[in-house]
Amino acid sequence: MHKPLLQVEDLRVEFHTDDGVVRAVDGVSFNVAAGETLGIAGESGSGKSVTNLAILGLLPRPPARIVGGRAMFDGRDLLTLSQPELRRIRGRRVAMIFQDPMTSLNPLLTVAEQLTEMTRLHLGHTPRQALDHAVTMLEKVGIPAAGRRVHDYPHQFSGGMRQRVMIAMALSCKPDLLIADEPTTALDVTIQAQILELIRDLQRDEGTAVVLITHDLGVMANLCRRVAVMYAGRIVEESSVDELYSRPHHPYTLGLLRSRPRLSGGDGRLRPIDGQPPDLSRLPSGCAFHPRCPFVVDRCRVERPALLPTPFEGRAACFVSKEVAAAAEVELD
Amino acid sequence: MTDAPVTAAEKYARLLAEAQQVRGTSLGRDAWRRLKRNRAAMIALGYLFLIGIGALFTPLWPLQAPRMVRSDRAFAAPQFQPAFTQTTTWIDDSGAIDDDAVSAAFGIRAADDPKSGWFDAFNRQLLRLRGAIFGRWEAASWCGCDMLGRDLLARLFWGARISLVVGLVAGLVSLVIGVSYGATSGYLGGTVDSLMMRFVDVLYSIPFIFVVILLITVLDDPEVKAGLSSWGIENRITIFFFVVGAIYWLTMARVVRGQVLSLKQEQFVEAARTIGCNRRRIIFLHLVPNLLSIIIVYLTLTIPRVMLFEAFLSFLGLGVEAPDVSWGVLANEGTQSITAVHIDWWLVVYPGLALGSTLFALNFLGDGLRDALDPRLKNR
Amino acid sequence: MIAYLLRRALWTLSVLWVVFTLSFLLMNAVPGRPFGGDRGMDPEIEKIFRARYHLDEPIYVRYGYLLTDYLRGDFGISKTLRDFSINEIIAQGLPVSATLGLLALLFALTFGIIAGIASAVRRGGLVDHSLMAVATVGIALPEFVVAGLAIIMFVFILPWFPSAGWGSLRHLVLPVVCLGLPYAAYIARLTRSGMLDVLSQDYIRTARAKGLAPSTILTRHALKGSLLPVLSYIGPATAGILTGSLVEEKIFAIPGLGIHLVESVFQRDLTLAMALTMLYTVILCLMNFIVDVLYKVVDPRIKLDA
Repeated sequence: MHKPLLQVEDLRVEFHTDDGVVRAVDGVSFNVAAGETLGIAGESGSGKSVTNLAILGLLPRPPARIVGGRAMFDGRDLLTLSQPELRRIRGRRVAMIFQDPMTSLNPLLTVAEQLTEMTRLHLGHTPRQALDHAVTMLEKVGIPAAGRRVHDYPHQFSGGMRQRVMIAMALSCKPDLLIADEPTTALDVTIQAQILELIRDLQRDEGTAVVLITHDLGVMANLCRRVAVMYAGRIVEESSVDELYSRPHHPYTLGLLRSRPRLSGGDGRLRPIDGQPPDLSRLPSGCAFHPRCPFVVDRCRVERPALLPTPFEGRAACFVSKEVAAAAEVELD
Repeated sequence: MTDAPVTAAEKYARLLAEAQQVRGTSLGRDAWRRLKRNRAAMIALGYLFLIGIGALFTPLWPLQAPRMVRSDRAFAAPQFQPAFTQTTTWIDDSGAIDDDAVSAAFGIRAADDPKSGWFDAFNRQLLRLRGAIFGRWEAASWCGCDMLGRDLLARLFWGARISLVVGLVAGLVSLVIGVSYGATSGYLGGTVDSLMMRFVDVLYSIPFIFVVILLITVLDDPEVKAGLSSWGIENRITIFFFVVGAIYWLTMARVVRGQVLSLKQEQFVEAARTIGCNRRRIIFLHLVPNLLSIIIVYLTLTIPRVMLFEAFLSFLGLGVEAPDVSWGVLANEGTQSITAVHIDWWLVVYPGLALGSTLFALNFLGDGLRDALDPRLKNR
Repeated sequence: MIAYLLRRALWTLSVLWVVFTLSFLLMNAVPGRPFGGDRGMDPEIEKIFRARYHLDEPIYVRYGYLLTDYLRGDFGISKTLRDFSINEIIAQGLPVSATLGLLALLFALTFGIIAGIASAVRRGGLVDHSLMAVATVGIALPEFVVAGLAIIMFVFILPWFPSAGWGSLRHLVLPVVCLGLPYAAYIARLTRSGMLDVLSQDYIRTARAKGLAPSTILTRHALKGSLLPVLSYIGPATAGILTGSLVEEKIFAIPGLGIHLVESVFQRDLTLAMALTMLYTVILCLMNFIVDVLYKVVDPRIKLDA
């Protein structure tokens, strides 16, 4: 594998709240190669969004505090860059799209104003060039009559169209990396498919690397080659999509796969993961997943498993990963 | 579905038990906890409590008589040496109280006066108690004297009674009107709601202060006054209550209506209905507590506005009438007495301080309550 | 847009009509002699009054006469100021009051907005706390107390400004500041909370993710939205400044309309009081109208026909 574009090592983020210190991200490491798509999955509150906001310095501080780790991008640690330096990377090299297109666009500015300010800033476009570029980008993301609609306000677009605008905006400076934070969660199912297809096509054409954050494993299977699963602020498993779906090594991943509705196979029942997601300010001892884990052994309660390679080129943080994988193979096939 | 149902039931029981372990606190306790942490709001609350007690039991404190005119010390500056003197005139050494002197110096009607009511009796009892505790001791003029040589400190205390009562009563009047109007409008919804709110819109656009000024002009007419007197309305303050109540209910009505409207559609009301709560239970258990918080908040924010309005009218000479005093009247007298010849700063500063600190505290408490009851609104 | 303007104008007119009718009824609620029970009214004036206000006609006829007079812009005559028509009184006082009011509003807006932004950006800092303390004091103290303290401070202790009068710039400073201060304070609070509200919005995060500089985010993305509450407060602020000007004119002896209104109340000069009430109402309604239209222009989300 060639040199990764983004290399996150041992990232740790804490939130200082009224109820004490919450460890939202606790030692997360992953790599993204140029042009690659990495999926990050997990329940809400598992730290997947926080991880990526932290990398770009977008977390509100306070209450958030980055207490450790590195995020190497193009040979520089994003976590130590000054704000002006970081601003030259944000939008230009690393772009981001967010979950809710209804609230992520400024309602008081036209789409043109929001699209052009970026290219004028980063690419030094003249107003004329910027507007032309904006129209081109809108056409590229499939907005009909882009030349006219570019002067509309966000509220005049539907949800799916707004997300297309967001994507056009994010890609307008040809970034090397696109972080998509639940880009389809707020959209209708049929629109979801269109947006995912759009992201995939654009990625193929532009060669942009993508980090796709989602809690929807189906979305992930569609788009990603590699997937990392997060639980309680840590990555618990990371492997290729095929591997992960056929032979998960972590009981949490297996639980996620089981709780997915499927059209065929199995006995047709949903199998939710027992219990509640953990309270991050009061994590259980040992492996954070042990109170909900059907495979739990005594060791899990006292010792925290490290993220170790599996025999199949993945990594998993589980003492009984072999048993899990064996059980999964039986069940999922 | 061949699994034994027992296991499923067990599973849900376990789930439920787990869910119940999740910490939950009631709205009231939670709000109180947050309020307690807000130091400014707690200080404000304590201060208002003190002011309230101070005003309620005014005759008990060893103060001079508020209506005692002494031309020899007109515009006398604040004086602390000696801090207390044994100079009361309305009480003799044996502790007996001269009813006529009290009536003139305090404005407390004597027991044989046909107009004497329970409040006069309450005040007389307090005075008697004071005589028993403090004898003939009374405070010197710590805050100075006004143009008639009356003690400003005493007048501040007596003024507090009227200012606070005006704020409280007028606030409550506006609350009753506003809440019932808003709740009705929101609860009925539909055409009735939009008609009722249109009416509020019209009233909102009217500059009531000018209409009130015009109204008071009319009501001050001797003949109108005589007419009102036959209805038992002796005092301009009474009219003030109604007028203010009639103006300041508008915001309350709008807020309550909006809250009712949104609560009606709130999922937890739907949920309560689904699990078979009856209407009364829904209203009292689910709607009222949610309304209560917003009502309390707006009450604490309406009272200062009403008190300011009273001060404004008193300044124009249209508010509280002599010989009654309010902080507004006192501040006005102070402002009027400013001349280049002598700067009687105490006549402006102390009434302003009394009024300002109370309004300040009310505002702080209102903001604190709002933050405590609805943390989402913080810093708005 | 034109339909909207027409509808707003119609609404404004109906509000004016309501106030007019209300005032008329109030005036006529006084029994006996023309507009008030002053026994000592000059018989000559009373004669003029009877003729001018058609006092021998039934009430609905009088209503019609007065309404047409007002519509023509003729506010009639005053009971006490016999040498002037009310129109002349207005012509004299209005420029003075308008200058005072507009300057106070301008002061409140500029000072309030700047202070609000400063404390929102430096949230929790010394600037924030002291500004908000000042703002709360400004809201909690009545105008005349502020004015009284200001006179003691800046006229007698520090002889910087004249205590009263009208004419020069130095005469203007104290009344304008005293009149505008409470509103500046409130606007500062509104701006601050509006700014904090906007800054916590998702689209500000988007703007940051785009790599925009904080100053650009503040001016381009946040300012407009955070000023919307201020814009809708201009209406109430105008109302407050109009009433406040009564106080300031009295304290600083400024020959504006407010003095006349206060005097007319004491003299029970009802025709003058009503005319001035209507005038103030017109000014207020006009201001509300302008603000409403502006609001629609600034916020594209609000539909014009809503």
